[in-house]
Amino acid sequence: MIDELIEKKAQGNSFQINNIKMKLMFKGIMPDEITDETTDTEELISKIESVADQFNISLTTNN
Amino acid sequence: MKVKTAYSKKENVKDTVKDIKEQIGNFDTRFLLFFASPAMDPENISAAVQDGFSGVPTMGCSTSGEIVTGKMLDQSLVAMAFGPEIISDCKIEVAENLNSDNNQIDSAFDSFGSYFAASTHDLSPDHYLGMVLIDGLSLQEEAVNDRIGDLTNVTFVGGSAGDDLAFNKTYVYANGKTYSDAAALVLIKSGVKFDFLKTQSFQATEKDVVVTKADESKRKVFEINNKPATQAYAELVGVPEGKVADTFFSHPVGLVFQDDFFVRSPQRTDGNGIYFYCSIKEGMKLKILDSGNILEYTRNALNRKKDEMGNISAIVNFNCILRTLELKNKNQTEGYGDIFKSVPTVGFSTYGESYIGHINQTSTMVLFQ
Repeated sequence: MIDELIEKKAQGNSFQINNIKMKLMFKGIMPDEITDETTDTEELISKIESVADQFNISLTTNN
Repeated sequence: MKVKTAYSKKENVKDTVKDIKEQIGNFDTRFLLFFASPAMDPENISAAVQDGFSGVPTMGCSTSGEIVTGKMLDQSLVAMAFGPEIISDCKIEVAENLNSDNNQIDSAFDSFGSYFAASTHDLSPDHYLGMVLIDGLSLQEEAVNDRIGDLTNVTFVGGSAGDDLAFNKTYVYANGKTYSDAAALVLIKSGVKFDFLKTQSFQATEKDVVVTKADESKRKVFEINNKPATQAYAELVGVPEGKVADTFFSHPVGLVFQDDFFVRSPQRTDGNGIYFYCSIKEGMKLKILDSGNILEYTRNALNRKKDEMGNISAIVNFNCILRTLELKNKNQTEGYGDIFKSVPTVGFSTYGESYIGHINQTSTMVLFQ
């Protein structure tokens, strides 16, 4: 979910990926700390969905 | 010549603008960026500059000190005229009412999109860049930068307007008008390559800070590591709690991202709490920072960029007032100016810097090839 958010916001520009990760960090999401092993809490999912709305991005994955 | 810089310290606005205009001469100015001491009649300077540069998009703000090629100044007006090689096109917008729900950032970006005939979400960050000047007393810099980042991938760099440390009123200027509680933004389609530089004279320590209780809107932290903020901070920097404020200048905290960090500077204590110059969210993980030499860090960072870019034809420098105060205290303002003496430069001492987010004790720069 976080990867899809970053990829869609970056629009294929690999140089943008770190900028987007920094934007997420300022919003209180630490993308480099989210891994496949990270528990998908409702709070985290809600935060990512909220940022997707702010970015005007539609997510297809649920986790 | 891609840009032309000028500065003036005449006694009145009319003579100052006349002096600037004479220095710029018949240069083909496509965008004029200016920074003016609050001593320069802040209610009228914007209109006077626009009168002097009729038909040219103009943008600027009040300052707490000015920077121009090779010099750090006070009580002056500094300006950079950008020519057609750098400015293929540009559009200035103003977002007013930052402290209301209707803060106009979105409408500013709608206007950018209409002007450039593309959604700002889709504009190429390789060909477009932005600069943003924000009322330095609005407490809205975080929200402004956050929303800019939502609406575009184009990088916006900038600073918060100052008022010579009076903390009374700051101003942003756009196309002859004067605003407070506002942000002035310019979106530039550049004809040359450009890059950005964020530099701060600190090193991250291994001392972890987790903000466990905070009022984000007031930029106040109540608890760090589940302890009263002043107690925890004093323990981390190794001083008695009563002396903790003396360490703030040299030991701010950094929001760490990979090999880099974003400085968040403590301002003052209030009971057991600490006010910062920017907001910190509950749960944010930070590091205590150790200070270094501003001249050395700045010179090295700029030299690395020069090596990467090959040539730099112009620099816009948004330099934190806390860095300027440190440079003044150490009699290093001349040395700082010298770092920029070989490249046309304009800038000012800010109440906060913008780059992805709102940051402190940092210099953010735009570099044009």
